[in-house]
Amino acid sequence: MQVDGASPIVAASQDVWAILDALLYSVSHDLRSPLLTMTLSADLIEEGLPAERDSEALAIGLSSLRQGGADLERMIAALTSLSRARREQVTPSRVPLGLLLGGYETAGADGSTDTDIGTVHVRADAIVVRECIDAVMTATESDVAVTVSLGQDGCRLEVPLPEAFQGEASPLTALAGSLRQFAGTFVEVLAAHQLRLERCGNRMAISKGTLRIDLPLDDSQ
Amino acid sequence: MNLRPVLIVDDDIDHAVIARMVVASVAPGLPVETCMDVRALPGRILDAPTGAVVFIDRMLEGAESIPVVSRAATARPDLYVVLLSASLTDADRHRALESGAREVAEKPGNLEGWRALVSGVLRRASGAHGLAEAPGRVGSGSHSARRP
Repeated sequence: MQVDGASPIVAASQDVWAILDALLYSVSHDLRSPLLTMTLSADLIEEGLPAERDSEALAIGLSSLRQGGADLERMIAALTSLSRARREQVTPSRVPLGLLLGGYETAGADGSTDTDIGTVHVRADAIVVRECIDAVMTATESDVAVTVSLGQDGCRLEVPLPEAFQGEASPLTALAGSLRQFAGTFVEVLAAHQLRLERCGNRMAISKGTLRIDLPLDDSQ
Repeated sequence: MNLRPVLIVDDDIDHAVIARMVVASVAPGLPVETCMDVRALPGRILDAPTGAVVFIDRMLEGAESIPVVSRAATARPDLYVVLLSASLTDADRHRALESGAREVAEKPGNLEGWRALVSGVLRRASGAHGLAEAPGRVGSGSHSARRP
């Protein structure tokens, strides 16, 4: 799966986000209504014309109607996922990095040690971060190590993505660029996680088959 | 099984018609009414047959129907109100149940799903409390169901 287009998300004013959120919600809900009408109509047609069920044209027509409906449902589900990620409650707080990564196998990059990780605090919603990492591990079907890099301003977590997932991009940018291609795929899953992370002041990106999550340090008491 | 009459409230005429067809297919002969005129609410619900099952869409002409559900639950506790929506979040479900809806469900995408939904609701409603006469009303098939 190739994900291209590494352009960053353009910062928008709060008013624009409010409008986008409303549009996202109404589109994900309102489009499903006519979709239901289409799929139910296909069922009604099939049940109502038993004598002509052998007609090739009818079979093709019904199949196409259902396939179109399934595609539309897939894309609407993706919009619904993003809408919910924008509206779910997130509570970023000062979190010990060691606690945040508890239970994961970790590897320190650039000479970082477990001791260094244990003394660092970051600003994040621990559940949001862990759910993102868990999603990658589920997709990878293995417990991969989380590589930790500590810098002056922040902490970077890196998790290898499934082999089939290549390219460099923001998952959300990729999904927004081609809903048809990426709706229902792991890109959609990551895009929703990206929205949640960025609402917490964190960043997510993909580079060389690796997922990167950047968390700001929190030295406050 | 003593099935309750049905009232379908939906501003989408296609969904209302399909829901009516499904009720007729799973419970032939059961009295079914439809209300697609939002302006007639909440009076239409308050005048519903005694003990009716009310399938009501969550969004009616852009406005939430939860206040209508809440009012119906207070004024007509005999009604078995089921809130339906094309898309539901956990918060939507919680709010609907808190407002007095007996059940909350997403509208299925196929006829088989609709039949299972409707037959399940009718079955559960027939065994549920609240089939007693509505306050101040005398129904043709009045029941003296026990209330919890």
